Amino acid sequence: MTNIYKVYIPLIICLIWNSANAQETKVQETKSNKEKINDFFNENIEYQAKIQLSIGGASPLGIPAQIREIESFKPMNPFGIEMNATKWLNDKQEFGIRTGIKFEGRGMKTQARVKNYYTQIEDDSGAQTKGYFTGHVVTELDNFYFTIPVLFVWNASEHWNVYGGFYFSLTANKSFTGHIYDGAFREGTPVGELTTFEGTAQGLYDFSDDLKTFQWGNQLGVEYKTKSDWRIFADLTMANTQIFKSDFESISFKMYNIFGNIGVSYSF
Amino acid sequence: MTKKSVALLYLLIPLTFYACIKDEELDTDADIIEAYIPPEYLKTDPIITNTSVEFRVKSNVDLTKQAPFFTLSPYATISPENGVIRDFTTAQTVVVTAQDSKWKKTYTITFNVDELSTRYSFNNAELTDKDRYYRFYTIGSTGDKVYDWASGNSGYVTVAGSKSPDEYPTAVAEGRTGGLAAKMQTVYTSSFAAATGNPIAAGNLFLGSFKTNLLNTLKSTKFGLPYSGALPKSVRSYYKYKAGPEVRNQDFEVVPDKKDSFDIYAIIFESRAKDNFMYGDHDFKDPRNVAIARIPASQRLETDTWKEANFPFELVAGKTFDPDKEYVLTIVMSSSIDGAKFTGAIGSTLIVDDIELIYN
Repeated sequence: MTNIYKVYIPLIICLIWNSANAQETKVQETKSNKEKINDFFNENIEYQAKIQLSIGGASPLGIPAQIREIESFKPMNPFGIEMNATKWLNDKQEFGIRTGIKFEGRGMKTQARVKNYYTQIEDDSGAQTKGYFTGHVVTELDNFYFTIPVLFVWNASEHWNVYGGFYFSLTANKSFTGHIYDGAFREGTPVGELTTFEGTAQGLYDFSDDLKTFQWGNQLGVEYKTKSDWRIFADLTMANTQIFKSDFESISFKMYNIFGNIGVSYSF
Repeated sequence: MTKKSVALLYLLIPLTFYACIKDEELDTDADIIEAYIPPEYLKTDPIITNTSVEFRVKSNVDLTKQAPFFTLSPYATISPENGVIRDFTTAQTVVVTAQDSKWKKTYTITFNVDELSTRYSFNNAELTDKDRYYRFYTIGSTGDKVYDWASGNSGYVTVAGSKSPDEYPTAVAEGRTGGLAAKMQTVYTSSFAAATGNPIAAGNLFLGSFKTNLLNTLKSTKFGLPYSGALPKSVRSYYKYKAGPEVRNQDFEVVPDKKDSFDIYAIIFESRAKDNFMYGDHDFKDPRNVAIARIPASQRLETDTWKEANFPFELVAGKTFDPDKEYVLTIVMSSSIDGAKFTGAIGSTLIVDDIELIYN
C-alpha cells in the first residue's frame, strides 16, 4: 500500500503547484455566473465511457498460514461499466481531476486446501457452529458495486495518461458463500469434537449478510491514447476497508478487495 | 491489451498467491486413535470418545497393574508415557499433547469390570461437552461413572448452534416416581445434513457408543455392550409418547396419511473379536442375531400418562442361547420408528423410564 502513496504524493504536489501558478497568471475576466458554469462544463473537460474486465478477488494481505494451497481460481462476473468526466486544471491540459460513476462486478471462485482454518458452518434454521477445519474450502464471492472514483490525472505524454486516487463503493448485491468438504472439522477449538467430511458431505457457509455495504480504497492506473478517441486502460484497485463488517469473526483474517482492471474507453 | 496478455494475467494471479504461501504450522491434533490392552482381558473393543477411553474387561482382570498402550495423532505425545503401569481401580487420566504443544487434551481412562445392569432408571444425567447436552450414567462398583447409554447428541452439536440441552434429540424429563426419565425427540437437523439425506434426527438412546461419522450417520451409532447370563424373558419399561404432526421422509417430503410412532427393542447377538457391535443400519437382519425383543404395534400408543410396555424376547430361527457364552446386548429406543431411514415427524417425543430385563 505504501507504494501507492509514494506515487500519489508527488502527483498531488504537482497538481497544487501547477494550479497555484495558473491562478497567478490568470487574466481578470468578467463573466456572468451562468457563463462560468457553462465554461466549466465545456472547456478543458473530457467525458469518457468505459467498459472493464476485472480479475482479482477478496484476499488477505499476505496469505495466512492456514491456507496451504490455492487449488483453483476463477474470476466471476468480471464486467463493469463507467461514465466519467475529467476536468483539466488549465489550458495545457496537463493535470486534471476525474470523477464518475461505475457499476462493477467483483467476483471470484476459489478452492483452497487449508489447515486449521477457522470458520463457521451454519444451516437455514440459523444454527451455527464455529471451529477449525483442515481440508478443502470453496469460496464464491459474487458482488456488484456502485463506485465513485475520485482520481488525479496526469497527461504524461502524447500517448499516455497516468491516474491515481481513491474510490468509494456501495454494494448493490452482496454474496459471499461457500462450503467445506473432504476434511476434518473440530468444533470450537483445534481439539474439539471431531466431525469428518467425506465423500459428498459438505458444511455450508453464507457470510453475505456480514459483508460491508460501504468501502473505499485506492486506484492507480494508466491509459494508452490511440490516434482515435479510443483508449486502452489498465489499473489496480485496492480496498482500504476490509470486505466484512468489523464485528465479523467467522474468518480469522481480514480480507480486502484487490482487483486488476483492464478495458477500453471512448472519449467525447 | 492482447488476448495473450489477458491469459498471462489470469495465470499470474494464482502464481502470485502460490509464492506467498507461508510455512506450514505444527499439527494441533491431540487424539487417542486406538487403545490397546492384552486382548484376552477385553469383553469388547475399547470405547474411545474425544475425551475418554473405556476398557470393558473381564472380572478376573487385575486392575491394580495395567499398562494400556495408545496410538496417537501424528507427532502427538502422551503423558504418562505408554507402558507405564498404573492402578486403574478408579479412573485415571492421561494428557495428550499435540505437535503444537499449545494444544493438549486430557482423557479419562476407565477400566470397567461390571456386568451390564439389568435395570436402568435414568435418574443420573449430566451436562457434557461444554454443558451443551445431557448424557446418562450409572455408578459402577468402583464409584466411577459408567456410560452404558449413548445417543446421537454429540453428532447434533455440529448443527445445534446455540440450542439449549433440552432441545437436543436426547434430553431429560421428569421421572415416573420422581427423579429423571429419558426424553427422546425427533428434530430437524440442517440444510447441509439434508443435502446428504439426513434432514431429521430421531432422538435415540441405546446401549453402545456413538462416534460421529457425518458421511454416514448410521455408521456413527455402534449398538451393543458385552452381556453374559441367562436369556431374559422380556423387556419391561414405562413410557409416554406424543407423535409429531407430519411425517417427513429423507428428502424432507411430507408422507401423506402417515402417523409417526416410536420404537423400543432389544437384541442379543453373538460376540466376536473385532467390531463387536452392530451399526444403526442393521435392520434386524444381522446374522449374529440370537434373540430379539421388540415392542409390538399394540403397545406403541400415544399417551401423556405413564404406560407400561412389556414385550418378550424371541429366539431367531435356527439360533439357540447358551447361558455360558459371551453375548452382546443392545437396547435401542427411538422417538421415530423409521428414524434409521431418516423418516419421522419433527416434534415426536418419547419419554422412557425404568427399563428392565425380566427373567423367570
